[in-house]
Amino acid sequence: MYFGTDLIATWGLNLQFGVTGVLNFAYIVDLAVGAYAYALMTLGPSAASGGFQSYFIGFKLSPILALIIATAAGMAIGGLLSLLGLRRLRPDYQAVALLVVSIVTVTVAEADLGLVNGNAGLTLIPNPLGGFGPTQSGWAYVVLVGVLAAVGYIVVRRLTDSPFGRTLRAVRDDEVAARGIGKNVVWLRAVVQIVGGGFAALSGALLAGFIGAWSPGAWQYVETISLLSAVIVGGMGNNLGVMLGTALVPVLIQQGAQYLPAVAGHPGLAEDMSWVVLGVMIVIFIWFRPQGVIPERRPRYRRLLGLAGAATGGTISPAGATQLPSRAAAAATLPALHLVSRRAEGDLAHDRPLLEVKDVVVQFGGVRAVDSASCVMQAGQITGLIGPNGAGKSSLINAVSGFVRPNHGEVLFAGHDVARLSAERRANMGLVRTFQLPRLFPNLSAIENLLVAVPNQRAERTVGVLGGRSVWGKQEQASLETARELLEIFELAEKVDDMAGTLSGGQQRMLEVTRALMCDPRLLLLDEPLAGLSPHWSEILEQALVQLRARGLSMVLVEHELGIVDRICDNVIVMAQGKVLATGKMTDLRAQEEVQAAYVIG
Amino acid sequence: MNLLIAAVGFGIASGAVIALGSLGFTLQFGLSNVLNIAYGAFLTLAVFIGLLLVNANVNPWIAMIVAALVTGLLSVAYYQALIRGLLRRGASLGSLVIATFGVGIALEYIIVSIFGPEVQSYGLQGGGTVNIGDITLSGLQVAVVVLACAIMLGLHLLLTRTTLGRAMRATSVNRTLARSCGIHTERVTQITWFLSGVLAGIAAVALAMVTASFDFTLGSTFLITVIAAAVVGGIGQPYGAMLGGLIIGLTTEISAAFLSPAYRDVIAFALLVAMLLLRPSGILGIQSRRHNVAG
Amino acid sequence: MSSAERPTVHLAAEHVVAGYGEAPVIKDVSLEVSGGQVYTIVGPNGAGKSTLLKALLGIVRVREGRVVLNGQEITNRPLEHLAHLGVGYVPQSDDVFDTLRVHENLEMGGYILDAKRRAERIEVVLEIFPALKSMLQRYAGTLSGGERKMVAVARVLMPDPTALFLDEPTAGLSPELTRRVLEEQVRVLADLGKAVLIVEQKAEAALKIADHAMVLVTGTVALEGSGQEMRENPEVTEIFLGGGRAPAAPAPS
Repeated sequence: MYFGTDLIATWGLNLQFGVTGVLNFAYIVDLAVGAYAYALMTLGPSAASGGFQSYFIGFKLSPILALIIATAAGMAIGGLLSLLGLRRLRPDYQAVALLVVSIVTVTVAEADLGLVNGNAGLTLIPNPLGGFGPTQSGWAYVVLVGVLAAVGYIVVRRLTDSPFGRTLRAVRDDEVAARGIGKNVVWLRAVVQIVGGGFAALSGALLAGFIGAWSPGAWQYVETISLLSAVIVGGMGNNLGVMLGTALVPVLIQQGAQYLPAVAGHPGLAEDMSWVVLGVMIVIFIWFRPQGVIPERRPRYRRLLGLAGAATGGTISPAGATQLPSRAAAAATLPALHLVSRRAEGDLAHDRPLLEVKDVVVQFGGVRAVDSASCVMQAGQITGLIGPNGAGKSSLINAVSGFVRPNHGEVLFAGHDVARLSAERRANMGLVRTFQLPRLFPNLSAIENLLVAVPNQRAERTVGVLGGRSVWGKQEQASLETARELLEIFELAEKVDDMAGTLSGGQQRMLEVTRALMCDPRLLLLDEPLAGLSPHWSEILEQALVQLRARGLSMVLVEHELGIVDRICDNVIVMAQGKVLATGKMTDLRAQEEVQAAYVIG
Repeated sequence: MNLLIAAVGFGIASGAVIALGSLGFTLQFGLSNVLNIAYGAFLTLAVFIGLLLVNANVNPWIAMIVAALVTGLLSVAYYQALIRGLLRRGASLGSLVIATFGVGIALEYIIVSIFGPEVQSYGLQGGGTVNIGDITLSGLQVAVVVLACAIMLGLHLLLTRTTLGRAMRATSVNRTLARSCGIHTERVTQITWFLSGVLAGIAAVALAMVTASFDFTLGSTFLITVIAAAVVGGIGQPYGAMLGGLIIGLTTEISAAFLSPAYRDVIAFALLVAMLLLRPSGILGIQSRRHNVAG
Repeated sequence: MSSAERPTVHLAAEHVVAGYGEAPVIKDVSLEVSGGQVYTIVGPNGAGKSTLLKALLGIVRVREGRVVLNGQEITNRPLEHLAHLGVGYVPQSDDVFDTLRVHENLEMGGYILDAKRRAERIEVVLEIFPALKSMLQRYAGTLSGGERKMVAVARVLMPDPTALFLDEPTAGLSPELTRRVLEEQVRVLADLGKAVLIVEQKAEAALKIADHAMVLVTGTVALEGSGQEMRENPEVTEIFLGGGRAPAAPAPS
């Protein structure tokens, strides 16, 4: 019985913490809201109960309707709690804020204010199966909880073991990178707070109905930790692991402790000790086995994609790297690359510059990293952005991609001013970037890193989550094909199922560029993509960039190694001390004294 | 008006205790960048060590010193055994918080299983009162305020006038540079955790002295107040903790006087959440100068 | 004992391999620098210049090879021990204690000295940088770029180190300031008998003051020679201003 209700709660918590990385120390509040909502919905008006308990409202609804309303109430509270996530706080600050919310709510409920009968709590809560109290409908109730838990499992699986779950895991692994590929992190976190809140509330309502009573003593903040320990011990992100964890920790250790014989002179000893054991277990697992008893499993694609054995290597021949192939010839050699520049082709039809930066200022404290910079980037070209260290190149890229809000100025992308839009909005518009230090999702496999980047996934919509594979299967299959071809081109086919975090530095960099291509970019901002790459990888990347341009993709290349800028950039912008120093062809720029001065002499 | 002035008096008295507790918390955070939830359990521990001694007829001030020293030593041991290792393993901020939570719960319930959940008291109530204008405080409260001021002054001198204090600040702001100057940052960190344990001990025993009664939840409740003060002032910054303590002390006592004592803690907590949402760096906090997304 | 009476300092790195993750960033780099010399390391961004410096200091783990200071092996020695051996380090950024006052920064620089000697050294350092006298009470975090660098260099000079590691001390400075920092400060330090190892991106200016120099490309030594030779070598300009690939790394000598 407790196993069933706890399980519903821990699955919800696993969705929040294990899968999405939201550390919700106020989870127990969701649960309590469900319990109180159920109680108030089923109890009659306060005055009618003979006056021994006072509460503000009572509806005397049918228990089944009450269960549904309670779940909805939990979802509403979950949504409210997610408002705390609007400010991008350090995760531990946010956790403390939620902890405080948890304590405050309990304090308010304990204060006897006629809301929910204060410290004494509510009693005589009707059982969903009729009657009051635990004794009267024992096994039937177990079956009810079992059925609801099974339904819960199906729902939670749809959410976690699906492309949507993959997106949630991306948010957990690296929030910044997730925004970089156009995921609305705040919204996704709100979704898991809402859904998780529903799970918690259902669990609370079932508990209240079973026990027939509910009081603040049942939802002190430590109860969240009890549920959390099930996730940590069982296996973060793994629903079956969490099931095991739930059986072990909250059920076996905590409930079990109540059945131990009392020690003379120490009435609550067993219960106290169960908390001690729980605390120690949390520490032991975080220290020795942070992934839990049954770690998260990632789907494997190698067999599915027919990538058995060693890969055949890239389609790009590194030979003849210095020769620019003609556009048509280049396009012909790379079948997959046409898939990644669908939107980009449309931009070629316009005369206007694809990107226009006007008077942009980026200021950190007293330092002007970008100081009234203006420049244009044309569609269908590779624009080089060069300059010595500290010239403001990365800051400009941050301002263009939305990771830093410019203090002043406009950023016109295909004619629209995007300077005030969020990074994820810009990524969805096709303004996609890579980072100077590659930012991948380390606990997703290489191919999952690519799949998660696909924009407008049907699996991320409500209908996709509820409808399952029949809704998103076809799109996923197409994405898989593109991803497979890209992995082969970039010689990463062998690493298909390897966790991105285990790849070498060069492979990570290549994978990040590949992931950016999966976003269907119109303008790709590459922040020093060649830094630290071996000559072999550099040549593959260089060729790919040239061929992507041939397919109509526009790019900005921030680079220090001027050789490649010379070879592949159509136009070059030189920055120094936050300002645009010069623009033009590399050959012309090299002759300019001020460029030389900025670069070599300082 | 008299009510307000009286409340200000109480506010200063409780603010002084909060500031002490908050100082200890903020020092740990400043040096190790860990939000240590177990700090609450250390507060409880100190109170019960104090109780043990007071019940054995030890002078309460001596009990305070002993409790503070023991808590300080346990705090170092805790840092050395757990926090340092987790930091070296590169544990995420989230799992660090959970681990400190785990320790906190374990320690708290060990204390319960030894001392029981009953409400306890040092039995120091009574004694003279001191009147300053409209403010009436117990002799004990005045003594605690004086003690807190002395400790804060001492800490100020330590941090600004001594090589050790400067090394603590230097380690807090830039560990690698501190090491390159020859500072044994590991030892400095250990000393800081000892000091923060001592401050926890003094604050907790002082709190137990001036409040009539307490039980094992004293630490976890006081912890939130302490964090609120630290965050309001600017977490990691000693002067912020002092200022934050005073602000929290005043607002809670004034709101308790004019609204309802039941809301005393709620006001403090609301202040904390509001601060986190509006200005997470706190009143004295420095907004991070370089927001370097690209790494 | 003054610098002049000291036995001359000698620092050598022998076939150092180092890096953070799996693949090493620094692959088999050797160098040698003695008292009175400036050794300049130049190279494009991402070449591993800063990492090399950090490896020699033990901040980044050295996996193969060794680092020897005055005949004593200091490979992977804890950073805090190096100050006692006369090593001073100015990082590229975060080179001062922002929340400490300028005079406190200087005192932390002289952490390993006793109080009397520390006071003496502050006098000496203020003689070298008289401009600091007016800003002793300011917090280092409120200083401008040039002032910060001055504090950083003054701080590192406090214990009178014999070997100096400078990581792009001119980053973000104007060309004129760059020239002055390099010629009037860095070069002068070497002339005082110290061994100076300096990482710079501004090749021309940094090679001018160098006795010896290397060009580092993707973690290996691409070119090496006296400062004079390197300045006259057209390949160096090539690497920086493009027009061709970096030359393949020469076989280890």
